[in-house]
Amino acid sequence: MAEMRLRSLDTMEKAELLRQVQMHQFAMHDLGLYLDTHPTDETALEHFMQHRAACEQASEVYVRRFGALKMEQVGAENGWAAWSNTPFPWEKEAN
Amino acid sequence: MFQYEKALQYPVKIARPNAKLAKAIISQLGGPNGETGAALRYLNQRYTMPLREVQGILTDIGTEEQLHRCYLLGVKHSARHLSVSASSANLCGLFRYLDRADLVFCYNATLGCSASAAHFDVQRIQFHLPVHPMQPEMS
Repeated sequence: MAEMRLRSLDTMEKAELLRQVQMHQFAMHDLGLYLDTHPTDETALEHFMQHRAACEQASEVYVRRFGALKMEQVGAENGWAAWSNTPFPWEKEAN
Repeated sequence: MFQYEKALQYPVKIARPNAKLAKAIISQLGGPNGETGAALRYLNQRYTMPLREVQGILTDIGTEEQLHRCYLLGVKHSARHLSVSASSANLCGLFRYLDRADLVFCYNATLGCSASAAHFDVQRIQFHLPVHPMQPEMS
């Protein structure tokens, strides 16, 4: 199952793959707000963990294929420009 | 405390530019009900919030408001392409607003009302809890 997901992440287009990351981040954030006031809700925690795992997997593939989303993900192999010269979200090329 | 990611949680894509709508959206940046005020209020209220889990919530939602500001600024950035030659009254009004740097935080783009620091002010949260978990022992 995890392998299938990984394979499909590898064939996704850039925007589609980024949307996966964004989707899981959004779900994590929302569940996080709920868990702030319901810290012992195990079902919510389980959902959080599922989205966290999926988010990590998607962003790992995204960073490997299309470059870093945050500074700490910059790898030596692509050079600094692969981080600093890619468009910001408010630029047309980023969307 | 804060890091940034070079992506939004959801992309800003303007399919059909709408000056009237843009004006309303941009007005959400400043003013008493704007995202900037909300972000600053939540992040400042953390320090007088006695319950640690609510300090966490205030940090979470204050951070979220910063993201909302990025959406609004993204919309504003897209609106710079709107051409005056398309010349509706609305477009002209929008450009009058966009051209004025002092109205970046304006909360009524039609009337040109600027936000003031008073909108960002924080009222001390008063809590009336019988026993406070984080209250230091009185000696």
